[in-house]
Amino acid sequence: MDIWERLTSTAVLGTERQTVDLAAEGSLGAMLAKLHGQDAEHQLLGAAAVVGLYRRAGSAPPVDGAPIPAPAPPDDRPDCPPHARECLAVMWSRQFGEALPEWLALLRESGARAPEDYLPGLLELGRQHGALRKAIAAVAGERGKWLARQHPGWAYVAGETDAADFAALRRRDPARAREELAAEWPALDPQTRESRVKALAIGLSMDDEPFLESALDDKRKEVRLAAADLLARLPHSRFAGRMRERLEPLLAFTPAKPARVIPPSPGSKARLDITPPDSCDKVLQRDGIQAKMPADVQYHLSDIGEKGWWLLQMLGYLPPDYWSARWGQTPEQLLAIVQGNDWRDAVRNGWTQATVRFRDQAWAKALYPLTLASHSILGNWTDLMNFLPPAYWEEVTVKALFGKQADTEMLPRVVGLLSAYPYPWSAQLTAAVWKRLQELLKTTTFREDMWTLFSGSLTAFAEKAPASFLPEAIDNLRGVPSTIPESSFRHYWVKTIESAISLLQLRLTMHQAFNKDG
Amino acid sequence: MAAILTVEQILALAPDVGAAKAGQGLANKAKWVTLGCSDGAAWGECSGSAGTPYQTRIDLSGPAFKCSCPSRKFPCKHGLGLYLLLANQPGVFPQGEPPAWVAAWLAGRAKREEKKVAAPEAEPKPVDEKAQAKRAAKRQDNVTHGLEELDRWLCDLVRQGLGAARAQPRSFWENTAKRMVDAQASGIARLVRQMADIPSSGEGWQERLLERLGRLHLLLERYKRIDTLPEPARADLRALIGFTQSQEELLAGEGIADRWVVLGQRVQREDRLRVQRTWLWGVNTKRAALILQYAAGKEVIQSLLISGTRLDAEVVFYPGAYPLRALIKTQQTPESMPPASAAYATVAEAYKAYAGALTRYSWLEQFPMALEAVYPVQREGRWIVRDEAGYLLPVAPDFKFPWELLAFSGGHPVSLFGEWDGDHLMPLGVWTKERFVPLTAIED
Repeated sequence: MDIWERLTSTAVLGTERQTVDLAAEGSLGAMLAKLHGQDAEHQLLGAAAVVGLYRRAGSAPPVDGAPIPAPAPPDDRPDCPPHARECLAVMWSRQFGEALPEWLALLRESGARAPEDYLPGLLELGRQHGALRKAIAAVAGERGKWLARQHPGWAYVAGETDAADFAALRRRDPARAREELAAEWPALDPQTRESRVKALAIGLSMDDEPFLESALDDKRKEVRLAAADLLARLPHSRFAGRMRERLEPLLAFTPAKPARVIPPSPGSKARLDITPPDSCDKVLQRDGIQAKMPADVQYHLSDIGEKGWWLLQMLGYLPPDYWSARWGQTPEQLLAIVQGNDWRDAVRNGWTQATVRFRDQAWAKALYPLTLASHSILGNWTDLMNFLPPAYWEEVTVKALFGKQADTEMLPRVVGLLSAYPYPWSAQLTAAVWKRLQELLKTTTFREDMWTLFSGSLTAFAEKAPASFLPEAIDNLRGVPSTIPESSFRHYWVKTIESAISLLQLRLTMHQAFNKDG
Repeated sequence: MAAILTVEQILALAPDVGAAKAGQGLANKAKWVTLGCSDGAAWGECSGSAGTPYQTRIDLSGPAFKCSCPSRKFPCKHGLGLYLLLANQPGVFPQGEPPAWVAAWLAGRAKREEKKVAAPEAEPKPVDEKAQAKRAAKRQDNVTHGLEELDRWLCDLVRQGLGAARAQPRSFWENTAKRMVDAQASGIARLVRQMADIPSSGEGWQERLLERLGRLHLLLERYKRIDTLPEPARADLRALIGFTQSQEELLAGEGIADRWVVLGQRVQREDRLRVQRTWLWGVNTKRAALILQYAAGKEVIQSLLISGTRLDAEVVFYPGAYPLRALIKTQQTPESMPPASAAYATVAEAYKAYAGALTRYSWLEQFPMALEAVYPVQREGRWIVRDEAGYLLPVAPDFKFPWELLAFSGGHPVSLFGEWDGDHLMPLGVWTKERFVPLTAIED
């Protein structure tokens, strides 16, 4: 034991139990010798002072035994423009986080590096919010990947990077991508298997059919569902054939009979007799039919029952125009025919799912107004909107949003639709919403009734309007608050407009920063 | 007139997150009825919920803020908003002569500034020298008795052992601290309070506590023969015990003029106070200065020294054998970019400097370390910084931004500034290629 250890041991036990031993070598010993003659307590305290300082001031710093880890590979992309990083600083102080995806996209386009001091924060954000992972991994760069390798929570970065590489290979050489995937398949974890199968949507062809058919035997449900989704899109796949054979006997169509005078007959309406499947066996489950209703479906569609749920999924795997062609009916006619049917919600939602999967324009136009009005349709608004011609949904949406007969119960849903539609809005939608907002400002009395609608639409507008529209919007909105008459509700209107201006201003600064310096 | 500070630096001035957020909301031209700026100032009138607009003004040379709003935050959201707007859109501030309400305030500030410089001529108050001497003698007496009592308490403590002390309730330490306050030795009370947490601080507590006890004992021993010591050492002892030094007197003395870089800031809780330590580094004099500011309860620390800026200032040091603590006597407008300046090329060199400081002043609590080329590395879940040779400094376990530091380094050596307390380094700022980045967050 060295002198310090001996002193500590005596101090812990107390001088009444252990004597103080001041023996030490060299100059330290000489200093301690001066303490002799004092009582034990003062000897201990005095020695603690001397040796304590001696240790601190006299010893060399400890040494790290392991080698310095290899540095991050160099990254010669330019720095993030200073004004752009200031925008990030503003978002970081808990404001306007809604503009972050746009900021990430701009950074990526500009080809600049993410600011190092924000990298850990961004990586952590991606850990918490799955939706941001792809965008964050895309800007992480060599430095970010290097950091992520050292933090177990940030492993997703490597996964996203590999996924992007695979997608690129698939785009260049679909066959080689599939072959490589097949070769590494047994070693992949379930999440990667799922993401790889999804990536086969790029350049999908019948060449992929055998591989996808075998993927239906995967242990993981998500992998089977992803494979089924792609197989359904290949009309000549064995899967598509099986689905048709199963469904045809379940739906029996009887055309309308016109009324006749001679011989008199009242005629009859067209009808659809529906027999849902009575079980969901292993074979059906292999083909991507989930036996149990997931919680979110149950929330929206609790009434359809499990048989309805199986039917819904099966219908989702067959192109909707298969039915319109088979029975010679328009989508509108078929939707009207099932209106009073017991299985209406199952069938309608199945067709909606199929419409989204097969991007069927005619069906989308028929379904779209229903999705706006109905509670029982799955949240497929934005999916439908994504492939409808802009002019069409713009008309429907804007009418629903600002029309005279605007149904108050429907409004929050339509506002939700506006905000769910991805950035950036098209010029048409932006112009239409902007025009309506201005009309509303001219005609409103600035009371409570129209505020919810105005606030929701303006906020969505401020988030999603394309960059070219920002200066005009900011200029116009600036003058508005002073024109709002005094009332107990004025405060809310002003606040909404001001925070919209701030968000628009931040976005404008962001775009200018990346354009100017990049 | 463009803003002197960057958006990030302005946000760092915010007293709390709420003010930062509200300030951003006000960084909007539409919020201001009037706006203007001159060479050294910016001003604006902000329409609030009340009828008359609030008058907000900024002296950019401080920066100093004044606003007619009733907020007790400092700077208030209007001040922050005005400065942020200036940083974002200097174009919306027309250049011109300050209106009367701005000019009067600026003139008042200039006058106070002059007065501060001319402080020695402060009005000679009639002093009752007899009563003063009596008070001083009484205090001396109180302190002496208090320290004698503390000596007995220390002896009892080591006689019964640290193990027994560990079993004592908190009041064991707190009562002694209170006795020291009563004995007018508040500095000693602080040292006793610092010990209260050590027995529960985990592995190695015995050594840490013994070291503290030894240092406290050393203080008592030295104080017994204070009359035989040179003046700087006497000043150290007096300050440690709690005799305060008149700031007016100090400011009347000679200052050291230099270009000072603000290297780091840290707020810590001490009893019922919050203490903010701001470290300055003299570019020419190559010495550190420590500015202390205190706030109680919800009171806001009105510090306008910003990490990563530099300023020409005259600084007066408190006397002592290793002077660190200082006051700013006069200062010029801060600038945004500090030059890269690091004091120690290696960890061994920094260690040696610390040892040197410790031999001159044994009670040193934080030693400023600007290290030139160190690597932040994680070892078994703990962070260290090490130099090329392998010498390391453990990083404080409560350091909040180890990953940010690692991100800056990317596995390459970085220059960084931090406080070394003898056991751990608390990094406060890091130099990157083109700027100095403070590693401290807004106080929540």
